[in-house]
This record gives sequence, structure tokens and C-alpha cells, in this order.
Amino acid sequence: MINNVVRAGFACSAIALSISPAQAVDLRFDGFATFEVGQVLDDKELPKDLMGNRLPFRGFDDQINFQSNNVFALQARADLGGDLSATTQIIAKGATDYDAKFTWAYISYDLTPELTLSVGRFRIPYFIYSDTLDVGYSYHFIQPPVNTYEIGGFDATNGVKLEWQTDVGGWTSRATALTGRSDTELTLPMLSAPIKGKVPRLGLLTWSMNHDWFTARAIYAHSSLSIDFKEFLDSNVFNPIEASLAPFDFHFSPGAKKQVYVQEDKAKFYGVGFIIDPGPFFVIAEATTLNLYDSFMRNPNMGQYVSAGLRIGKFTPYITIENAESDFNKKGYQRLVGELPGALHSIQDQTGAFANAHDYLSATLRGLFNADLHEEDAYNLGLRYDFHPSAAFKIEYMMANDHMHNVKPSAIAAAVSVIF
Amino acid sequence: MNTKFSREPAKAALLRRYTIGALLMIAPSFASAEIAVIVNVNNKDKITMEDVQKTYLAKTKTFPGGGKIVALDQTEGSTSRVEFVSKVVKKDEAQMKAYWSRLIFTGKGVPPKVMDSDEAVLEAVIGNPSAIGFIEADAVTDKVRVIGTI
Repeated sequence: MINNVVRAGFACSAIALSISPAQAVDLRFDGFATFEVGQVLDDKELPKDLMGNRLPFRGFDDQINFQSNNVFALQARADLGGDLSATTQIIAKGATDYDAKFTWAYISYDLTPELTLSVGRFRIPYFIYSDTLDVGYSYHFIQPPVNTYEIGGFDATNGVKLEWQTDVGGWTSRATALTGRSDTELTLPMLSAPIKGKVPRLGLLTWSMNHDWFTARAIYAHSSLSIDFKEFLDSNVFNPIEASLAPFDFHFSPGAKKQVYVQEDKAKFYGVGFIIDPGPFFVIAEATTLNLYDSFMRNPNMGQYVSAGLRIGKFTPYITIENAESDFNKKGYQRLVGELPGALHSIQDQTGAFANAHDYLSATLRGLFNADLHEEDAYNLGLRYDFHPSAAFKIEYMMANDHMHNVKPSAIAAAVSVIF
Repeated sequence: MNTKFSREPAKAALLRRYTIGALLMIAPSFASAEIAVIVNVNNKDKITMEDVQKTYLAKTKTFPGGGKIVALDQTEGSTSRVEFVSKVVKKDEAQMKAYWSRLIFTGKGVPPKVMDSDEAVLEAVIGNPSAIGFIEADAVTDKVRVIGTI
């Protein structure tokens, strides 16, 4: 990495003369890449979507896959002098055909040696490994626990970040306050095409304390969340139900429908984690939860994991155990069902699958609330081998117990991660 | 032990003792070179080895007196660096690399500048009142101030 430091002295150039004598910029280039290959061991254990199609597991299916999780990135940092720097990170991912994107692009200013203000685009530090999610070399596993780390694509923000690092006794305290907006394209199981998701006002606080081999971390974030699928729900769910109940002159109340729509709904994110790392071994644990209010999901994701490893020379065998689950908006569901005309109880269900028309419509509505539910235990066993000072090889067996789909998918993956 | 030795022929016992003695004498310089952490002679701050560790982990950017630190590193794999990283930073080089990759790619730090020899570090520290570096203790001169030797 160090060899990549380019000192660009413009002192003699005409450009520099027009600014000030002896203007010099320290430009530094770094990069990282991960090449990953993997395959699902038994495709019959892959979960199916609503259309009956097999879903990939950890980005893999029954065909050996060389591309989907590959990452190649370049970072440039210009130290402009006077505690001012500009940084940009461009990432190309195999999953999106190496379409390069600016994940980071920001300007930082050291207000004091302890206080740094950054403005621009950066990763949102929801989790311990969020900041270096794509830098495979920086952690032991092939992928950080994917269920816990699922945040629906809201992983980057345009905003302002204030970082404060200071000593408290023998401890190093790091606090981050961040505000910004985050927009993404979401994929929901009930929709065939991605839709827009917006987090217009994100407020986030993280705090970590480190002493020698022990680090503890906590995070709190709140925002409002909007997902652009009101029209879809109206035309595919509410309008057809209301039309079929025209003889009753039935309409859901706006308040009840609001329990399903995600329109400027309140969202709160909490998390705690710790790292114990004396050197010969390490243990990392993290638990996070995202709560939504007045939307079809009450708790889109609640994840927790423990990962532990031994460092034996250049080899690091490790194990990760993870649990993730979600919960739907029960009150919202009950409110919608409660509004259905009571007379439906005595009307026959024309599909014949349910006891009466009320049960049929209740089940239809329940399907809507259930669409994005998941519950999974995951077990990963792996080995990292630092075969080169700037490169690591990893092999991992990934296995999950998917309680929602009642399948047990598993996969074998290998990866090479480098930094340069 | 003594009874066992006494059964050996005298010459063999003597040879063995010499060999062990020679190994013991070589061992310290072979297995662990003494490392001196140095600053500019004009730097009068009281700096502990813990401060040095924090500096090389980007946990502190200033000397106790408030002055900004310019930390100097050495080439990976060099005797001075291997010893320094293990004794002062208390990590091995691979761990150090993974640690710094987290800082670099999150914009939290710029790694210390890498110098290619003890002499280069010495020269840089002599010339820069904000510099801190490490070199083999044998290479120290009176033109720099030694914070500690380990």
C-alpha cells in the first residue's frame, strides 16, 4: 500500500504558481479485491419464492458460481494539508456486472486531533463490520453474518458525520454521530421489480470503548422510512378485495390501510456488540434489531451471532453461529381483518379451500403481512489462511436451518481477499 | 541430572556444555534484537510505551504535550519492524495489516510513513521535531532522544 503513495509536487508548475508557491498534495491510492467461488450442496434444500422459483443461498445456487460475490475496489485519498482530506472509494461488484459505484466520496476536516467532521457519501455504520463490509481481508469470515447484516440496501448515506476519539482512563472511546438521507432500490418477495425505498432523515449514534483486547460497542439510529408500493398494494390487494365486496359497500378505513403502507413510518435501529481479541483467539458477538411502526412489518430483522476463531500461525479456523428472525404487524393485521363485514362468516368460500369467505380474505391479508418474514439459524465453519502478507485465502462451509421455508440449505465457498 | 552427566565421557560432557553456552550467547541477538523508540532531541514530552502503542494503532495523534505526531514505520518483515510490532504494538504483522486495512478503508487513519532502513528513520527523526520512529538499539546515536528500549 505504501508504495502507492504518490507525492505530487506542483511547486514548479504554472498551475501551482497561480495558487500559491509550493502547493503540494499527498495522493494515496489503496485498493482491495475479493474473488469468491461457491456452490450450494443440495438445490432441493433451497427456499422457494412465492412463484415457486428456487432462491439463491448466500449468493450461490447449484451451479458453481465465480462472479456474484466478487468485489474490486480502489480508494484515493488526497491530503490537502491543514487537516483537510478528500477520500473516494469506487467499488465494482460481480453481482452487478462490475458496474463501478462510488460507495464513499467525502471531505474530512480534523477540527481537533480528537474531532473529525466529514461531509459527503459514506457507509452507514450499523454493524461492527459495516465500514469494511466489502474488504474481505479485514475480517476472518468469507461474508459477515448475512442475516444480521441485512439492512435492505440502506447501507450508504449522503450526509454529515462527526467522529470523536478520546482517551478515558486506559480506554479509547470512539463516538460517531451521523445525519443524512439514504435512498435505495428494494426487492420485496411480493414484487417482481425493485421499488424505491427512502430514508429521508437518518440520525445515528454509535459509541465504542476499547481497552487492550476488549471492545464494546452500541448503536442507536432512528429515521422515517418510505417504500414506494402504495399503488401496488391498492391495485393488487385493497381494490380487488373492496370490489369483490361491492354488495356490502365495503371500504377499508384509511387508518387500517396505513398499517400496511410504508409511508414516512418511524423506524428505530438498536444494536450492541463486543470483541474479545487477546491475539491467540478471538470472540465477536453482535445483536441488532430494526423496528418499524405502522407498517406491514413490525420487526423486519432481528439478528444475533457469535463468531470465534483461533490464530495458529498463518491459519485461523473459525466458527460462526447466527440466528435471525422477523415479526409482522399483528395489530395492523387484526385491524384490517376486524373491518371485514361480519356477514362474510356465513358466505361460502368459492375456492373451497377455506371454511367461509371471511377466512379466505383473512388468509389473503395474512399472506401480505407474511410476505417478508424469515426465521433462520445459521452455522458456518471456516478456515482463513494468510498465505501472503497482503492476501488471505478462506474456505467456509455454510449451513442454515430456514424455519420459514422448512429447508436446510448449505453451501461451500472459497475466497481470496487481497489489499494493495 | 548430575549422575546422568557423570556417566558421559568427560569430553562429550564438556562439548555439550560449550554448545549450550554458545547457543545461549547467540540466542538474544538472534531471536530478539533490542528495539529503541526514538524522537527528536527537542521533543521533551514524557512518552510511555503505551503512548507509542496507541500511536501506531491510530488511537492517538498527538504527543502528551499536544504536538502533532508524525509516526514513521519500517518495511514489513524487517527485523526492526517484526520486533517493534510484536513487543510494542503487541500484535503480529498480519494482525497489524488487517487492523490497518480497517482504518484505511474507512478513512479513519493514514498509516505511518514507511522508511526503508534504520538509517532513514534516524535521519527523519533528526530532521523533524514531530517525528517518532523505531530502530535497532545498536543504531541509536546521540542526535536523537531515546524514549525507551525494549
